[in-house]
Amino acid sequence: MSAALYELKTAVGALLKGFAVTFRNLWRKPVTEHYPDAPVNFMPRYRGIHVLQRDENGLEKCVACFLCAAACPAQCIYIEAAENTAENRISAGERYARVYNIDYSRCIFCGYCVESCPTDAITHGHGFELATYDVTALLYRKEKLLEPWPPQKTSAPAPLA
Amino acid sequence: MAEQKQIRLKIDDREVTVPAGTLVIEVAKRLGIEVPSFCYYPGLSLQAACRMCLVEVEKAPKLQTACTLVAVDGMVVHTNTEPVRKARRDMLEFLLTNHPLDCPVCDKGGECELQDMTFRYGADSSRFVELKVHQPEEKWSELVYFDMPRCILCFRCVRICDEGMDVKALGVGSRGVYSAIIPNRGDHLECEECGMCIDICPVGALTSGTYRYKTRPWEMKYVATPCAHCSNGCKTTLSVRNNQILRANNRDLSGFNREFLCAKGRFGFDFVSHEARLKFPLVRENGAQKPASWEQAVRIVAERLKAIRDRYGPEAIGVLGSNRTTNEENYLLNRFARATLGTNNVDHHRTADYAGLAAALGEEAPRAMLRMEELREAKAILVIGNEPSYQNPLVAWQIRWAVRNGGARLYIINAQPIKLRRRATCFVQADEAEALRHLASGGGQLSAETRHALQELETEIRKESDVAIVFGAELYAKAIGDLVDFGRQLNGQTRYMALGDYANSRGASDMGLLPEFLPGYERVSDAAARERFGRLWGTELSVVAGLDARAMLNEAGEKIKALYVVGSNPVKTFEVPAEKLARLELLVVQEIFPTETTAVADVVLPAASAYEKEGTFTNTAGDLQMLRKAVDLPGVRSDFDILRILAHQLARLGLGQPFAARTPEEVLEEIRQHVRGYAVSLANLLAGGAEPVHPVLEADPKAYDVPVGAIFSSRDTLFSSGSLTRYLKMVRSVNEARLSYEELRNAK
Repeated sequence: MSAALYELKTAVGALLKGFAVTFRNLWRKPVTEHYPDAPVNFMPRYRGIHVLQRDENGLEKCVACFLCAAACPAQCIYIEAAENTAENRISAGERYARVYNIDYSRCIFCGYCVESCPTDAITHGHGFELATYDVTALLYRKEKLLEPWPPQKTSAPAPLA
Repeated sequence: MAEQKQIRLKIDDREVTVPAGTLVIEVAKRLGIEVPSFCYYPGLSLQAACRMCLVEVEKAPKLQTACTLVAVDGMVVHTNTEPVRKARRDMLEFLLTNHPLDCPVCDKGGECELQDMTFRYGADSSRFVELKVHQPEEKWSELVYFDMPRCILCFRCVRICDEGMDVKALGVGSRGVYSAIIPNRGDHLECEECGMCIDICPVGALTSGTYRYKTRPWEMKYVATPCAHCSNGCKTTLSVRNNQILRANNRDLSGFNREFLCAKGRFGFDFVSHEARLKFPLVRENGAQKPASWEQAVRIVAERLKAIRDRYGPEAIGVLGSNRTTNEENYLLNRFARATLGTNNVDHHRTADYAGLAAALGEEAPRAMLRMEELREAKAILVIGNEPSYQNPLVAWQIRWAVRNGGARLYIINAQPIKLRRRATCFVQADEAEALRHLASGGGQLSAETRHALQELETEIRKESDVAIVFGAELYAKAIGDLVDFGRQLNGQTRYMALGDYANSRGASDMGLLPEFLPGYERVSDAAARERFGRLWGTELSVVAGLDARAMLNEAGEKIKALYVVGSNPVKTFEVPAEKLARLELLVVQEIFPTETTAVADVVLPAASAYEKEGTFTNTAGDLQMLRKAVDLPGVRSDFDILRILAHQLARLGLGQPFAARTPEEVLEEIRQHVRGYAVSLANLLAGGAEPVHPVLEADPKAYDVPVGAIFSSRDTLFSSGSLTRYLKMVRSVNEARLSYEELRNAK
């Protein structure tokens, strides 16, 4: 008899505990994202499609040091470097990336490229809509990755320091 | 030689016995203990400028620089104590006070000695907060750039330029933090543009005009292959990315040239991707050359060769080989001419009398051939003719090394005051062949003054033993006989090196691209040799004496109806009028670039260059090395493939047999088995080493007879290399490249 009572007591206790959680969350703001009806709210360190940053003068921050390509475990970054000239200045250093491709069919969004970048040129943006019918469209060129200049209001937050 | 005294010392508690006079840094290296250093470089004078190699020596009051400290008996050295580690840390901190931290941009990043040392021995932070001294980058020439703030003043560049190259184009100017390397013309360089300073720089202060800011060291693959230019056979490491050669340097130090490369070896690779390259076959139709497919072109060549042979006989066809194609290709070309076409009209542009030397030496040859590596160790050197500093830069480098580090005595006989005379014990300005006649037999037409000078040279050289004799194209046929007669009178084992012009000049000769010789200098007149090669090649070989190159070209349009030219430009080299070649019924040229000869050709077949194929080259000293393919060029085919395809086509028309060998390796195997002197070990070759070849020719007392003008040097300089030079953009861009051979020689 006492055993049955005990079981009843614990069962009711557990139920009440569970309902307490439900009840508490009834008054909280819901975490559900209403994508695609509403924009997605990302955590600031979300690792989305990369953004190549510019400095305050609009020059590209990337100096084509190839460290991101070296760090990349998926080997999805391809760079060709070239030298800046007085007439054609692209970056602040001597060298700039003439070609900068990221192959998003391979990228695993590990963030090593961002970690390794000595000039904070490559950052993770919050873009994530990569789906396409054509796999070749997943090869993003520099023009697509670069932060637009002059700056425009975008959903992408400022890079992390 | 007297037994060298041995001493015992202790480094890091390890006992070691070394010859007296060894430097502590070398002893440590032998034990596998790393003593870091920047300014120390084996073979150059000691500087003790960087202070990185400080070690602790017991009973010495202060830390000592291991690079200048001579080991003595009973010495106790510590290389890894706290004072030593602190000294290294502090030295690096000093070196980094003005050194910019622009590693991500710097070309040296990833292969920088300062970067490595800072990683291994440096502190994690710097105490200096002051502004760094900065200077803008300077362009010294199209090929050499200098970034002063990156310089750590190790003076390696200054010393390699002065001691190694004997050019003295670099020096140090200003004081203190403003000290900088300065070029000989204040703001620009006038030198041999060898680029040794760039390669030897431990940091990114000196950078190369061909490679700057293109890529990074770990992004490339490295292909070590013999250089395609002169006959010295230096190993050059091609850095390749995306099927493109981005630089050539000496990263791998595996060749007998070790750290040496000249302007051509270091910067002369851009012809590979030159837009003027021939990329598809050209066939002349109604007077104009038109692009054709390989199938069409090869069919036309085969049909017309067959028709001419049927109509005029095999002697109406001439074959002119190349001194730039591989041994395998030369061997196949020889087979193609003698077995498939059935003619002995085979020759090439001869730039040294290798056959004459082999004939004069006879059975002695294997012992008496001087290898490139041995020249560096020679104790007495006699240089006759040639201008090694400009025509055979590695030979000059080896000689300077022998004089500088080995105390060798250098004797020179030359009609011109060549640059090496500065290092000579004795220099005699005289016509080379006449001087030789005088030395060998007392004859020769020379002035009394020259006779006297020669006598002095002779007295001195007779005191030497094991003399190394290096000679140019000035000596051939009878003169080589004189030289060997003189050499036999000297003490010890006299050794010889003939200097040719091109990457495989020696190989072309050894593989029998000569009218009277089959591969391995076996005479065509020798029935047994003919029989042996005939059996190997599946036909009976002709005994009709062949014409040499000049005779073939003179007979063009007359006795010779068809000329098959491989990698050669006879219109320029032999100065035959192009109209004369136009009179031929068929002129086929295999070439990599349009030349004066391809312009009059009926069929032009685009060939692969030495950096785009595999095979072997024999350098002028008889060192056999393997080529490594670095890049692919669409459209072209290697000379090897072209000959194979053509032999196949001709076989279908009922002429000769197709070649069974599909790869250069299979032909090399045949060469190893059947060509005298080429039975080399494969292991070393495959590992990237050089194997000596020793062709043996029966001693011929009459000496090997060649007509005047059959052997001549093209007098190429550091900036020229036959018709290839026109397409070396970077090498041609420097001021010095505009000077002629004579001007360049007289400018210094």
